[in-house]
Amino acid sequence: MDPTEPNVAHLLKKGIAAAQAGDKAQAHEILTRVTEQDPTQESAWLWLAGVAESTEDTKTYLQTVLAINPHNRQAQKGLKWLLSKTGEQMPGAGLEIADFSQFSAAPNDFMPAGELTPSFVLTTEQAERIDECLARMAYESEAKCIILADMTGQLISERGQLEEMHTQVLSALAAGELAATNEMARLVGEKARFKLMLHEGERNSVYLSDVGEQLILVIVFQVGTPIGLVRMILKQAVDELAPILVEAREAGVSRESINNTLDGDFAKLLESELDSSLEFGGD
Amino acid sequence: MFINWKLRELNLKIVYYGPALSGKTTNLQIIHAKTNPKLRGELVSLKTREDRTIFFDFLQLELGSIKGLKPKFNLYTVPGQVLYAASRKLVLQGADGVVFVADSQMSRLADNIHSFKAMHQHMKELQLDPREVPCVVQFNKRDLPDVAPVALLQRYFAPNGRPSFESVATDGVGVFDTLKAAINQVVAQVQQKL
Ligand SMILES: Nc1nc2c(ncn2[C@@H]2O[C@H](COP(=O)(O)OP(=O)(O)OP(=O)(O)O)[C@@H](O)[C@H]2O)c(=O)[nH]1
Ligand SMILES: [Mg+2]
Repeated sequence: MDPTEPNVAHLLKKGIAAAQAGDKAQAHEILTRVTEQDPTQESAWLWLAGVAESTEDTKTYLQTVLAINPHNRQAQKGLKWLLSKTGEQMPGAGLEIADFSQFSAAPNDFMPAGELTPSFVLTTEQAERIDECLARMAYESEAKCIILADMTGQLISERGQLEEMHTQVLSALAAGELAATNEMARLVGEKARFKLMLHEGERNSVYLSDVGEQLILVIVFQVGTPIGLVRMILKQAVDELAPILVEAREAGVSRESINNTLDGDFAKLLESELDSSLEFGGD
Repeated sequence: MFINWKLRELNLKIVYYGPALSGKTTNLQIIHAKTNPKLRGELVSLKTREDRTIFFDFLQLELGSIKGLKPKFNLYTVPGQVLYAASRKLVLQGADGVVFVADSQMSRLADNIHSFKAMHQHMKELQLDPREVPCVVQFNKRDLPDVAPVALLQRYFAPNGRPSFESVATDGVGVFDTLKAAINQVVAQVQQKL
């Protein structure tokens, strides 16, 4: 059982105790709550099968257990017995032949806890400082375009000659690439992340770098620009940007002004905006 | 979530998660095809030659400003194939909400459950509480013959009145209802958190 969910674990215990005590209604109610909170609780489904009111329900619960774990002996036996009673064949061939052993051993189970990506809010003043810094960088490095994004690919600020929509896509791709590269670094036993990445093209090159733990800079520049220069300017920018972003996380725009905008009205207006503007040319 | 107060922009990330071939990419393709080009960016797909998602699809929607704040929605899909578990988790990072796209076929029930379970696991690893992440469920491929009853699917994936929608993504049926519900949930959650 998952120790991180004391609540679910506790409920499950209570549900099982009720079932053992013969209080079917109580057990049913508690166990259902367990599966609502975590539908992957194999034993909750199994106990539900035991306290179900109809054979049909028992069957559904047992099938669920097998869907979660096709090797569950009790569910296999129970279902077989039930089906022999009703003269049916074992249904859902897919449920049986599916091999889930690979799931339980999937590498993601052993990954360390990922970093939290907290949401943050930039004040006008902070956004201006960032824009200025990017403008200066663009000027000094003669870059075609500079983008600051967060690790999830959300664009924070940009400078240069690219169309807006392209820079959005570039941020998403850069974030994906950095995430993938860092994961590779981890897998080959690197303690530190790979800090910088350069893609050289025939006319343009792209430079990627992280700024602190949470942010990414993408610089697009013409081939022929001295790479040493780009690197130096990048380093200065990182030093300059990092504190602004720390500040943005700690003390952003006052909660009040955000609350005044993002209120119930906002939700209503958004809903009607969605209804009127999405699904253009829909049928 | 990211708010730029200078530009008055609200950025939110919504991830389409689900088992292999359930129709996640198709959802984004339909949204892309049927949304006013002024409101959406390009659809970027990192895919194999067989059109299977290898890392993610990405599409940005941008609405007109509401009460002086312009909402932008960054839509992503994860690759459903077993092999790409690590990529799925990377894409899920920083999600403000998810759309779980289930394949309604009875024979895919186990896959759906496993994918759902893995999604919760990933959230926990990313230190997100699965119960707090806004989630909307789509039961896709309702046009196929061997589909599980909706009531059954709801029992697994949408207990407690979590919003769920039947869809035939290839025909665009249910795609926008799902998206709108996801957006509304995410915004409601942001309001609650503030
Ligand atoms: N019959 C039917 N087919 C569908 C439906 N939605 C999607 N498909 C088909 O299912 C196949 C897989 O769709 P995708 O959108 O690529 O699936 P996916 O979830 O992105 O798959 P991965 O990227 O591998 O995880 C395609 O051939 C789609 O045309 C539907 O509602 N009904
Ligand atoms: Mg796909």
